[in-house]
Amino acid sequence: MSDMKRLSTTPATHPIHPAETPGVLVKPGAEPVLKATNITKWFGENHVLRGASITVWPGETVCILGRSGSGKSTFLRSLNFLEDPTDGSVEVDGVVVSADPFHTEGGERAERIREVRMRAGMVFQEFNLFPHLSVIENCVEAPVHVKGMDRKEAEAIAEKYLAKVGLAEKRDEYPSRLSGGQRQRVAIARALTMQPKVLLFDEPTSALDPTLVGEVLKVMADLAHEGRTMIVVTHEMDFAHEAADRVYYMDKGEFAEVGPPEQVIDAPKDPRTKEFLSRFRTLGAKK
Amino acid sequence: MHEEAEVLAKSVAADEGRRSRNWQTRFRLVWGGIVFLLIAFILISLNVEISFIQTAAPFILQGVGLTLLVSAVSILFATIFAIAGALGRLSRSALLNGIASFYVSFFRGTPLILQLLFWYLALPQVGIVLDPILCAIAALAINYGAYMTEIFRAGIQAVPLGQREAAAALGMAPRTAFLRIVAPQAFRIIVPAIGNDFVAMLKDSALASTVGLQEILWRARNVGAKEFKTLQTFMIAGVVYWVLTIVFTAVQNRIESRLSAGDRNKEAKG
Amino acid sequence: MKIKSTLLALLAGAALVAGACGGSTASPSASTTAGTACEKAIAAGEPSTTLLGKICAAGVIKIATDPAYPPYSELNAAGEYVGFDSDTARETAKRLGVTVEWVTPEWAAITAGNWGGRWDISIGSMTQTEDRAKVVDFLDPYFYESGYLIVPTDSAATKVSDLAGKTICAGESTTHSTWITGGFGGSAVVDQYNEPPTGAVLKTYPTDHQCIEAYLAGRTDDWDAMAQSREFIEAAIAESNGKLRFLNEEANFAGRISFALDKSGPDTASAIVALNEIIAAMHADGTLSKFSMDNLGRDVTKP
Repeated sequence: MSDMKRLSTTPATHPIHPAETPGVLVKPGAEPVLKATNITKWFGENHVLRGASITVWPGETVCILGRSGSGKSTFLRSLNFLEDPTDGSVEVDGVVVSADPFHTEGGERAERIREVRMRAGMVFQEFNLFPHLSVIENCVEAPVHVKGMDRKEAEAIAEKYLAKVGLAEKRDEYPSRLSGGQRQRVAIARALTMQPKVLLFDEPTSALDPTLVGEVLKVMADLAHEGRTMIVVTHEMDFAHEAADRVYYMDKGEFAEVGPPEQVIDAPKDPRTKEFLSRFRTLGAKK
Repeated sequence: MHEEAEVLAKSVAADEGRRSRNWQTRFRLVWGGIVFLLIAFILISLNVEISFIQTAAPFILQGVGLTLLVSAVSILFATIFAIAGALGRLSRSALLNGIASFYVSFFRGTPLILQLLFWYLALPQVGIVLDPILCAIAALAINYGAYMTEIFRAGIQAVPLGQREAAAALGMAPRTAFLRIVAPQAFRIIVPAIGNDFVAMLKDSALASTVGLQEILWRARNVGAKEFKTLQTFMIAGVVYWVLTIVFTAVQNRIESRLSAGDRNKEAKG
Repeated sequence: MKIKSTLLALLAGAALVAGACGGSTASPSASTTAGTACEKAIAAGEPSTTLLGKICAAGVIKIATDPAYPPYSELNAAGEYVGFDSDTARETAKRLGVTVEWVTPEWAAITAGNWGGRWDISIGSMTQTEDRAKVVDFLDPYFYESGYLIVPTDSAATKVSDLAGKTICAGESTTHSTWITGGFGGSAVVDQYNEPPTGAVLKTYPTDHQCIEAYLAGRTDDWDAMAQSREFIEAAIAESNGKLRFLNEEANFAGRISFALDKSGPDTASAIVALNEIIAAMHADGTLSKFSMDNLGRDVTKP
């Protein structure tokens, strides 16, 4: 089903299965948007990531599942170097940055990290809106001061995305006057205004009141169906099932199972995935 | 039923208003009473001569301008030193952090009057002669800068880490993130502290009288000594300082309430 | 005006320069000499490295005084410096051909020397002593002053020896405190008439006035006697409502009161010559006597 969706956005050619991710259909000659290889992270004696790799193709929505403490957030934050990995490398839209555990590389690497960050928009669990700036100012701050975009132009783009997340009329409000769900939707619009190649979501609904989760998931599902490239770390099983093209299951710092949601969620093969999902089902059945 | 609730709500509100007004009245009465007792005590015990006060007070008041000038210039430079100091204390560079932490330790760890005498008496020995007013400003600004360094550092650190992460994730360089995201938020935390320090500095500037600066306290001592009435003139000086602090505390409150207008500085977590 | 100029000084990062060119245009004074001392010094090629050269080049003389001692030195409500010292200082500057800038440091800072160029001269009733002469150069005296004792009216003491072992108050770094602790026996510049009381204990305050104020405020056990000049004691007695009196009419010592220059500063030799000429002229033409009569009502300018 999800493959059909992508086909509709790339109708000109017959899809193929690239060697890195068998089972995924992409346009011939297409390059992955994001490719992370052998991401390894030590926090002191703690081996948090054990060589996790991921490849994400244009238009794909990838969900990363896993229990708390499995390292999935750390992995996501390594993709834009908010966590500096101990080993491994990340390539986003042609920009490659490798781990530099001994800080031997200088400002040139920092510049490339900024290039990666400009191409990979991030949405945080805690929103992290800038409280001293209005909604519209939150959105145009980086396009204007990082990309050097004309303010008028940036505002036009921001307004488009605010309308998309349903908050056009809140453009001049301050974050403190918005609900949690509205804040997270502004945070999504802020990330989109940078016109990134890929969106990274770090448990975007975990800090929300249950009643406000739906409005955020709906916006995210819309983005997924539109063909945005997204990586979503989440506990929302229904969302993963409905919106993801592929699901990665992380356990103890490595990916235990990868595949379409119908496989990983409905019929897991790996015993670790099975155990995790069985607990989920029990809980789900109780509701 | 609905109307009844409305009537009840109105009478509750009226009662609250009444109690608040009552409280205000009693509060003012307490102040008035204390001030009255204070004045009575002074008049009875200190043998105050109104005619003397009439000649001494204008002489003392001529020092207000200098006191304000010294305090204002000093707080300005103290703020600059504190920004530099706070950045140094937060710096990963051992050199900058070392300099900044020494600065804080040394200038918080020695008496202000010693520092003033250092600028006034020690520097000329190596050929640097600062005007007394510059000595006073140097001493106050550097000393207060050391105290404010720690406040500024705390203010900067009080900005949640998530703010820096969000800025970084948008591709901002650390410098841009600091100037555009962290500093404006830290500023709101810091402003009340600057106001407090200015009020404190108004009073500490009296130390400048020891290097012959003709500010409020120098004038009080001088005009009082001539007629052996410094006790009375110190009282006048005390009132002048007190009134100044009341005025500037009011100014400070207005600035603070303006800064927090619209609740802009609060983003509830979660 | 003071604030304005200090602001200027701040902004310019420079010392006060008000009236910097006033010197050369000052008209000759009523004195007999043609031309001011500075005009003559500059004509004679005085280098600007000496104290005199520096003062003349700046056109300003910075004079230290403690203006809390009427009728010698006082800052009045109009911001003018008045009194015998102030008149003398202004006249001296006029004869030099420069304008006056007043500096008002604490007394102890003046007598300690090492002024660091903050002021050029002390014209503030400083009595010559051998100790002070180690750090400052004294000029010829412009007046003479004697030290007296003041006691509570109910004191049993009537002569200095009655105060043996008692506590005597004086201002810090004053000649009066020096007399109490050791006297001026053998001094070439202070004429001692009475030895200080044996075993007397000195109590000091930063200024002389605080001795009197402490007593009048009720701290009557602070001291048994206090040493100061005649004018000061007269003013204190007037303020005391009959609580204080002179010990007796006898002066204990008499001092030569002089201008002082900083030994650690620029070369003072030419300034000493020029200023001593001016002082001699002010003695000779009756200027000092007139200032004394105007301010004190008696002539203190003769030994």
